Amino acid sequence: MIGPVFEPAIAAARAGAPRWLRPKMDVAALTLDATPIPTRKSEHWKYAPLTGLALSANEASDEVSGTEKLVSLGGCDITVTRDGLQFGASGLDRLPSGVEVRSFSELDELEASRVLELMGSAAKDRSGLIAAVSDATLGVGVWVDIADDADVDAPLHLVWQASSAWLSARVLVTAGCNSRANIIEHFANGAPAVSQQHSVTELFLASGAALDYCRINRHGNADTFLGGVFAKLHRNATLNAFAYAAGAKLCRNEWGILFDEEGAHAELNGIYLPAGREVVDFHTTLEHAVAHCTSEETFRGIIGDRANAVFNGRIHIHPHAQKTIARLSNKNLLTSDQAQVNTKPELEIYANDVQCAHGATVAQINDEAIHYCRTRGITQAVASQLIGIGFVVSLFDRITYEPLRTWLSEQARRRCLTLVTGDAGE
Amino acid sequence: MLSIKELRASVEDKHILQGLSLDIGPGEVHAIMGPNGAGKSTLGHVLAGRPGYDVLSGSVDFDGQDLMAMETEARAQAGLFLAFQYPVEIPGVSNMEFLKASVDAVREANNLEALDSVSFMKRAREACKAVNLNADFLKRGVNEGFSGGEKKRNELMQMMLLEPKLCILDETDSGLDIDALQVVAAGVNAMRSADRSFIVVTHYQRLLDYIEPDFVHVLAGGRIVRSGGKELALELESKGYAWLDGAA
Repeated sequence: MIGPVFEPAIAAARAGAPRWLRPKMDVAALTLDATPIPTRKSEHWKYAPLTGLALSANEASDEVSGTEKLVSLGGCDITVTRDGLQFGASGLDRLPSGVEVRSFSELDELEASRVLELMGSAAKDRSGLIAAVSDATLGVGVWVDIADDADVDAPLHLVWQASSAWLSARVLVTAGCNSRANIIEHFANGAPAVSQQHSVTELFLASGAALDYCRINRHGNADTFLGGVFAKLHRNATLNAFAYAAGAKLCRNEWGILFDEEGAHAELNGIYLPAGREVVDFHTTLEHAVAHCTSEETFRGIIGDRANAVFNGRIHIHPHAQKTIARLSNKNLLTSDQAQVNTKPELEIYANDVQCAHGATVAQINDEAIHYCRTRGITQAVASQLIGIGFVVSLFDRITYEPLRTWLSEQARRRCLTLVTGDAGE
Repeated sequence: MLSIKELRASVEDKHILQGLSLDIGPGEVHAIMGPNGAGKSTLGHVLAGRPGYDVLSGSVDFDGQDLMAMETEARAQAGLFLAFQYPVEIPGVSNMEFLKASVDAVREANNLEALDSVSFMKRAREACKAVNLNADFLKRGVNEGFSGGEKKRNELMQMMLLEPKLCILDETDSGLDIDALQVVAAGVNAMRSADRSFIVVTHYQRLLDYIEPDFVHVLAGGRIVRSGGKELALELESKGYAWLDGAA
């Protein structure tokens, strides 16, 4: 069973959790106690099983030897550690009007019951394991509430730093009617000490809400990350989501988007760049439960060295979801003979008047293109980097907030050099 | 500048170049003509260092260096430029980024300071103008969706920015309409100088009306079978290559 693996985290989290949250955590802990460790025999964990997790948990220590400097992207920066929230240099003044950020530990009774009602009510993850781990080990809870009609330009930048062996986080975002906002969640390489992070974020978009959401995973190559983003979209809501995962020993993200009312649109784009022996795993599910919704999903990955990427993208069109338009594309570039990708786009359609497309490709760097670059004086390594970044760069255009687009594409550029020269990750 | 001696080379075990010798002095323009399958493009690829092209024997001296011992990029950095017959598309990599990487690499290898972005942009725009390409092409993916003529002009634009010592134009005239041909020829002529040499590989005498060669060579069966002045091209135009059978 997987429960004992998380025992230290469960005990620590329970001790520090508000009283109202404990019953929920206990239920999740019991679920974990009854759940076997997923192996290659479990369909949803087939290519990235959790069998090595126990070892990582035992290795985990509380030592911290420095953290990455916080990158400011011009919005409101909030650093989150197991000890709570720390606002950026200019403090709370930077929190845009119409946005409230509350730690679970400071909620009153009424707010707590609202949070309990919301938790787990967005789309579900397919294995159920991610949510159970997140609930059972919940260390820091953050509720971001965006008021109706709020119009926020600058992003809310949540930087999660694993200042300890464990960081388990839960974020709830409630975006009010016709609000517009931008949230970046950044999981940084916190410390040289091995860390394990669990993070589930739930996004609730009320009618007409427009939310840009970006999840950035930049971990150390010994770190483990288990997370999920689950969104529920009401009438005419628009979600523009972006995922960036540079790798970890295991970086698993489950995405679930539920189209709950008509007229909603979601765009989900992602880039993964694992190197060394890293494993990046994306499982996405778009639940088109109602008619007249549209979705566009594009993931691209470059996989180097002996890294492994998993992409499992499912579009589920329910019987009444007529006039749905849903497209899914996944393209992969392998930069070494031993790199691996397992991609599986799935389309499950129960309505008869829909437009859907899905596809996946796996390719290697084109030798002709490399040669062409070399005849112009460009070395093989730089040529591969250029071609690699060219493979993913167009996706960055989908990020509307310019400072984030610039910064993230620069991270990808550096990462690409690592991927093609194979000098990192081990 | 370039001295090729008894060069033999094969592609996939097929012997293409069979003892080719050619000397090119500084500032000279040499046209290489010949029937299909004679080895004209192979010569360009062997000189540029294309993988899969095996040199069996012979030597190539480029400005005192053993060209065949050099890596592909080192040849480019030393001043050799091949304008491809079929330029390669590199999706997603902007022409500007590609050119900057190329010029930076060549300058660095020659101990020259990297150009700052503003100076580089200025030069790139000028080069675009010189080959009649809209500056928007700098933002597009390398050769991505370019027409045949645009690709050839893009090759020429790269050549202008890199300022090589030896330019090999591999059928740069093929697929060009007469206006584009004149643009390309004007570009090449503008680059002619006392210390820059050209090898112009072509099927047609037409190009040589615009780029006047110092020497014309006929390549057949993997060897130079005849050399002469520009009048040789006219002779080939009127007689074809059939008469070479005896000579080869």
